[in-house]
Amino acid sequence: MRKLKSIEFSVSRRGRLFCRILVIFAVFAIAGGEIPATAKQSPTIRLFPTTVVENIKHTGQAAKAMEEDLQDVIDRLNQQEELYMASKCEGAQAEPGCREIASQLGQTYLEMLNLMENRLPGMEDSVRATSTSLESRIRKELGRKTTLRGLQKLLEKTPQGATDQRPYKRRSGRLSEKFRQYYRLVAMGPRTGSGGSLAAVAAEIYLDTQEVQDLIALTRDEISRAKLMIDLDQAYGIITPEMFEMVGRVKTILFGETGEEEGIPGPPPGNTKAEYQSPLEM
Amino acid sequence: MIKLRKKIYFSKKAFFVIAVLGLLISSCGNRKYVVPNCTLPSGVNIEEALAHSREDLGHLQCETMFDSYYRRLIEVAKRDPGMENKRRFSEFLEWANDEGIIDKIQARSYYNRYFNTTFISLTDDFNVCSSCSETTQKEIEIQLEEELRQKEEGLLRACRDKNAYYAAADQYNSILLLLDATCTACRN
Repeated sequence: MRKLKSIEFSVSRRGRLFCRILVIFAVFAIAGGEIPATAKQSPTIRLFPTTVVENIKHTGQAAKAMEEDLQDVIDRLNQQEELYMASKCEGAQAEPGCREIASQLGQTYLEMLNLMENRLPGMEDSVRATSTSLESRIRKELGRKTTLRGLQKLLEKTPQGATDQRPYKRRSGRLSEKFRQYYRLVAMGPRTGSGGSLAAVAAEIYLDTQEVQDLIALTRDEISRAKLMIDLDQAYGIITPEMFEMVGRVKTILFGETGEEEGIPGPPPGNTKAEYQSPLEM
Repeated sequence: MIKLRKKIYFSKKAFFVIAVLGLLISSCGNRKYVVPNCTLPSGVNIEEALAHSREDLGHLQCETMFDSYYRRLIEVAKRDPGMENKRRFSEFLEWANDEGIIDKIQARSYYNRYFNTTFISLTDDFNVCSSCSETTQKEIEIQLEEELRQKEEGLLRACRDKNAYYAAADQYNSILLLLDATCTACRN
């Protein structure tokens, strides 16, 4: 009986020992398979978590709403400005016709200022939120986790022809359209696997939001100043160059500048693979 | 007897010393000491220019002029362009490395600056934020611009590899964009 027990004991000890060996082998096998695999992969760059994507989407929607509000007023302002110029009213403000046009222009201008004053804070908050979230992501993922060479490696990984147009080209055009395109790129990005172009998109959006924030701050200051001037002068009939400048600035924020092209040369069609590969290549 | 042996031994030794001295004097008289003439290659044939450079750089006195030779070779290659220039320059640099004229890192730098889309000015040592002081960022941008100019000479002018050059130019623009955004984020 004692012998039987000792046999059972030795079997169970052997079994446990065997199990341990199996576990150790399994760990080594997993480690052997997993570690080199992870070592081969470059660190994952996460630039667009859901919050950033949502912020971009919201900024696009806010810009769209503001554009729709302002489009009509700006069209009217343009027509009145053209009429004012065509009637050669500059320097002839005393003429009754010119005074009438100037008065209408001033009222439309005030209408635009009021509309913007209502819309800009929301827009500014939305742009700032996008900018802040992207800033911390870029600082963490590209600034701290990546080297200068790593930036280029990231771009080299971008598959050729992943998108129809090169996304890192600075876009011009309507703000809402820009953000709509950004949202589409960002939302589709993970599926196309174009890490490099996503990094470029993130950089572009971030720099754009910085620029837009500066413009919004300037415009808000200008609005306050312009409204104060109007209140002081009750100057509906006075057309100042600042008015036209202000309208121009609003157009820049909302509708972008046309004819703006960045100097990225386009590659000629054909195979981009070099024929010769040197052993010295990096 | 012993005296005689010693005498013979000394006379043999003296004869040997005189013979060696005579040989040395005569050899110095016949062979002049040649100072190598380090002339930079010229012309429009890159193969000839490379052969000329190999010949010159084989002399110790010319080794220090390697950079000037390389730049002149690029000039010659621009007048004798073709895709095979990549291979020619790569082999020339490997030869220079084998001969101990330049080290492996220099060879890589010379090749990649002119004949590859990778920007050698971008280091792999520290993270991007550490290169984001305004002066450092400006320096990097200047170095990148200079390297793009070198790639224009090598890829576009010497090899007529438009695709590779445009790819490099494209990357240059993207790197500037990424660097600008990342450094702005790091500084804020």
